[in-house]
Order: sequence, then C-alpha cells, then structure tokens
Amino acid sequence: MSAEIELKGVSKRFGTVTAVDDVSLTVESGELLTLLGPSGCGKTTLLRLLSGFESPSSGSILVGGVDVTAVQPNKRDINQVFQSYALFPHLTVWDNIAFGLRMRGDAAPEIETKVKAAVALVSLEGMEGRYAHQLSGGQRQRVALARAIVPEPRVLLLDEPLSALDAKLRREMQVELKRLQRKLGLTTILVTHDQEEALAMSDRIAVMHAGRVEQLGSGVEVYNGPRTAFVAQFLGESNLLKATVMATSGAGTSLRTAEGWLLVGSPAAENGPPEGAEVTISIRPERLKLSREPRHTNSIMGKVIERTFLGASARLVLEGDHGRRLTVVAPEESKDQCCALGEEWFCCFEPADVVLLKH
Amino acid sequence: MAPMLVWLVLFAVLPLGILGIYSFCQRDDIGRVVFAFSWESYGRVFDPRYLHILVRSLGYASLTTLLCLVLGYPAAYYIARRPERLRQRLLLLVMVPFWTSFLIRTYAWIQILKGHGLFNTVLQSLHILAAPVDWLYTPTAVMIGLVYSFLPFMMLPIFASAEKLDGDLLEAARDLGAGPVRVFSSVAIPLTRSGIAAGIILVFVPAIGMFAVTDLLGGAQVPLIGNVIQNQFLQARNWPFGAALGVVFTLLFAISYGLLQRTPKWERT
Repeated sequence: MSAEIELKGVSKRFGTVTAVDDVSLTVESGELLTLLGPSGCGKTTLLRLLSGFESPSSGSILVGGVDVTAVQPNKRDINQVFQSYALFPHLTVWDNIAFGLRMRGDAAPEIETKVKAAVALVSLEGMEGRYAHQLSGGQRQRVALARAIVPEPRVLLLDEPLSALDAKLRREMQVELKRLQRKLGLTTILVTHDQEEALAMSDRIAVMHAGRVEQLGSGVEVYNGPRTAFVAQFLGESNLLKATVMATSGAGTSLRTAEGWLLVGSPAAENGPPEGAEVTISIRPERLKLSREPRHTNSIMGKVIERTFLGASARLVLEGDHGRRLTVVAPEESKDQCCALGEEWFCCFEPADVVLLKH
Repeated sequence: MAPMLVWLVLFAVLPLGILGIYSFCQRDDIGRVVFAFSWESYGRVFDPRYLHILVRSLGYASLTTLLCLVLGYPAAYYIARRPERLRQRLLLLVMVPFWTSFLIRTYAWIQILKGHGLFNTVLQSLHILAAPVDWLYTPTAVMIGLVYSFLPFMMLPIFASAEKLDGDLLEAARDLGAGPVRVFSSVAIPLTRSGIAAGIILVFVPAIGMFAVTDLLGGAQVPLIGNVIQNQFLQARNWPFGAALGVVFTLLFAISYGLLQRTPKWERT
C-alpha cells in the first residue's frame, strides 16, 4: 500500500468564510475513503479542490507523489461522478462513455474495446444507443460511473453518487459500487452525508465538521470510539451525558453524571481525563439493554414515553430523573414483555459501552 | 385556443392571403390593381435583374448573420455565465439601444461614418489612416449598419439558451479531459443549438428584407431585395409585383425556418 493522494495543510477560504480549514490526510492506493459530514461542512469544497475546480488558498495536493495543486482539471488523472450525473444530453450512452477517451485522443479501435468493456461492467448492454432522458435513475448512475472509470483514472471521485436513487436501489448500488471499486482497485473518494452509506462502503471514514476532519478511521473505529460529541451524534445515534470523573483505576473509571447517576466506564487510558475532570460520555442506543431488575452497576431507571416500531427493532425513549431522556434501540422480539408506554424499566450497559469524548 | 386562432387569422393568415391575391393580379397604366389572374409578376421575379439583387441580398443577409453569430455568441455566452446580478446588468446594456428609435440610431451612424466623422477622426489620430476614407455609402457602411442593427437579435436567444446550460455538464467535460476549446465546441455549442437557430432566423430573415439601412448608409448604391419591394409598393406603384416578391420570400423563410427548427434526435422521446 502506498499513498495515492496526499493533502498537506489544505485550506480554502471564500472571502471571510473558511470552507476547508487546514486539512491533511492521506489516501492509500486502492482505498475507498469517505468524506462524511452535514451540508456546509466543507466536504464538497474538498472534493472540488481534488478535481481542480477550486484551487486551495494554502496547502498542497499530491496525487501519486506529484504535486497537482496548480494543474488544470482536464490535465488531472482524476475523474468524477457528479451528484447530478451530468450526462451529456446530446450524446448517447455510448458517446457519453467514450467522451473521456476521445478527449484524450485514443485510437478508435481502442475506444471501441474499452467502451464495450465498460458497458458490460455496469450491465448496460443494449442501452448504448439511448439518450440520458430515456434511462431510469439507476441506469443514468451506471452511465456516469462507466464514463468516469473508462479512462482508468488514478483517482475516482464520487459526489453523493446515490442520493438521487430510492432507498432500495441505493442499497443495491452501494454493494455494486463497492464491488466494482474493489475489483478495479480504484483509489476512491466518496462524499456523502448519509452515514449508512459511509459505513457500508468505506475502508476509512473522515468525519468532517466546520471545514476540518474531526475524526478519521475505519467505520468500526469511528462508530465504536467517537472522539467528539459531533462524531458520536453524526455517525449513528448517541446518548450524551455530562459527567465528572470520580476515580480512575485499572478496574474502571467511576463517573458521576450531572443527574447524579453513578456509572462505571472502562479503565482509563494513559492520557485519559484525570480525577475531577468534567467529561461528556456517549452510549449507543443499541448498547442499552432493558431489564426489569436493576444491576449492580450501570443501571438507569426510566419511564417509556415514546415507542417507534422500526421493523426488526424498536426505538424507545425513556425518561429518567430530572427529565433526562435516553434513547434505546431494542430487538423487536421483546416487544411483548416490555416497551409498553408508561412502564418503568432499567437501562443497563457494560463499562466498555461508555465512551469518553474529547472536550 | 380560440383567441390564438383569431390573432393568427387577423395578423398572419389574412395579410398573407391579401398579399397572395395581389401577387396574381395585374396593374393598369396608372398603377391601379386590376383583379385579373396572371402569372406575369412571378415571371418577373426570376428576371436576371431581380435575380441578381436577390442573390446579393442573400449574400448580405448571410454575411450579416455570420458576423452577428461570431460577434454575438461569445458575448451572449459570457453574459449568461456571469453571476445573477452582473448578468442582469450586462443584459440591460444589450437592450439599451432599443430605447432609441432604430432610424435615429441609423442616422447616428451617418455622423460616425461620414468623411470628417468620428470613425475617421479616431483612425487618423491613431495614425492608422493618413487621410479620411469615405466610408459612407459603401457596402462596408451597409454591413456595419446591418450587423449593428441585428446583433441584439442574435444575442438574446443565445443568451436565453446559454443561461439554461447546466454548469455541471461543462465541468464534467473538463473533468474528462476536455480543454476550454473542446468544452465549448463539444458541449456548449451543441447544447445552445436552439438559441443559435433562433438567432439565425431572427437575423437572417429581417436582414434580407431590410431597406432602411441600405437606403441611409448605402445611399441606394447597393439596393437589396427589401429596397426593391419597398419601391414596387411606394414608387413604382406595381403592387402585384411587390406582392409576388413578398410571397416568394415568405416561402423561402418558411422553408429555412422548417429546416432550422427540426428537433434534434436527443430531444425526442
């Protein structure tokens, strides 16, 4: 594995607004990295810096070890799938896919072979003569993808590529896109605000917030060990509680929440917060187990005030002391015994489920 | 539907019908229209004398259209791709000439092009010309006048189609390796085709029939078919012949319009 893309201290300012704020990151060859964040977090600007449609206010961008910061978009070995697909309406599927090869000046027989292979790759055989308006959303998506990968770029950029598709098709395309990306070993950067899509497709996720990369890691790492309240809430759902560190030991960390609950977290890390520190803790809703009886540690009592049926599971909101609400996602099989509105239950969890966030 | 039909009948079908009827009539010695069927006027349309003027008119109109397209396309395209506020202001500048009568603006060109006019003064002070050149009453003056008059009619429809052009498509072409020239030729131009076609019709058709510019700036030295038609109605008092010329042109326009307005394959469903 080697670094295919390197961003070194890249910033982009529009007037007084800093859209991308000193971002440094490395994408390995063949890796799919996702820039995840809400709208306005700078992920789209970062993508445009990579494609070359914006140039950074400071910092540099390297592709395959070569500085491309000042290289025009048409000279960059990077192709993009646009959110709108941006298929040329006056060209057929075939001509759309061949566009990049023609611009590069490939020989006609070579274009023929490559386009044919690309059409087969995205299963669009028989559609070659159609125009964009004669295709379904999913088919357009495939054309846009084929058009971007047929010139075999070093880097593929995907800008919210599935956002225009309906939920079922989107999940199918996630799997297919990922399969293709693996098969071709394409270094890919995906921009999305959809956390499920990010988790399903990425090798690593960069969670972006206010122009910065807030946390970078594999989906499992980021989901299970969010470092900030923003990450904990943006990637999945989280119960956030303010707490004070009472004692730390090899056995665990004693915490006292603002509501007065005494909780035990996992043993303190080396550079973890000292005794007396004010911290925020995050507990994932699915880690809370409902029980009739309190456990020795980590049990919070609450009254069920809200219940949402989600199919395989149920989402419950319990209200504890001082009106503090906790969200619980429980397997739906237990619905008969529990979960009636107004009932009181204990939310129990393991010390390992308590994640201390950075302030 | 019905109001539209009334409008069409009143302002299109009826006048054209009258023109058609006159074109098959005859005239008596003092220029009155005699309602007796005759092909005579149509015979005269193909008289070499008029055919010559017709060919010249087509040439002038074609050159006017070409120059308007070459000058107008980049300007209209540029304006259409500016940010909203600037775009509106620039567009207003294109429209400003319409606030003054077309005839007065053509008279103004006489002042600019005459022997000691603005054009010569500027060229002389820049030492491009040693002595004043008589621009007025030359084919050059007519071309300048025609291009000046029709440029906005080329720019407005092109502006309208360039404004609708999706910026993502231009970026996609760029992303796929097209340089600025290729982006323009393989994406921007085909996708603003309808604006170009409308501009060509809006310039070419009236340019053929234009008589005021050729009269004022050409000094009747280079009569175009518009001058001939005007003459037949106002001076020669040969209405049937004027009408026959008019009918032939209307048919020519209709055919060229039909050819230019064909919907491209990619817009058909």
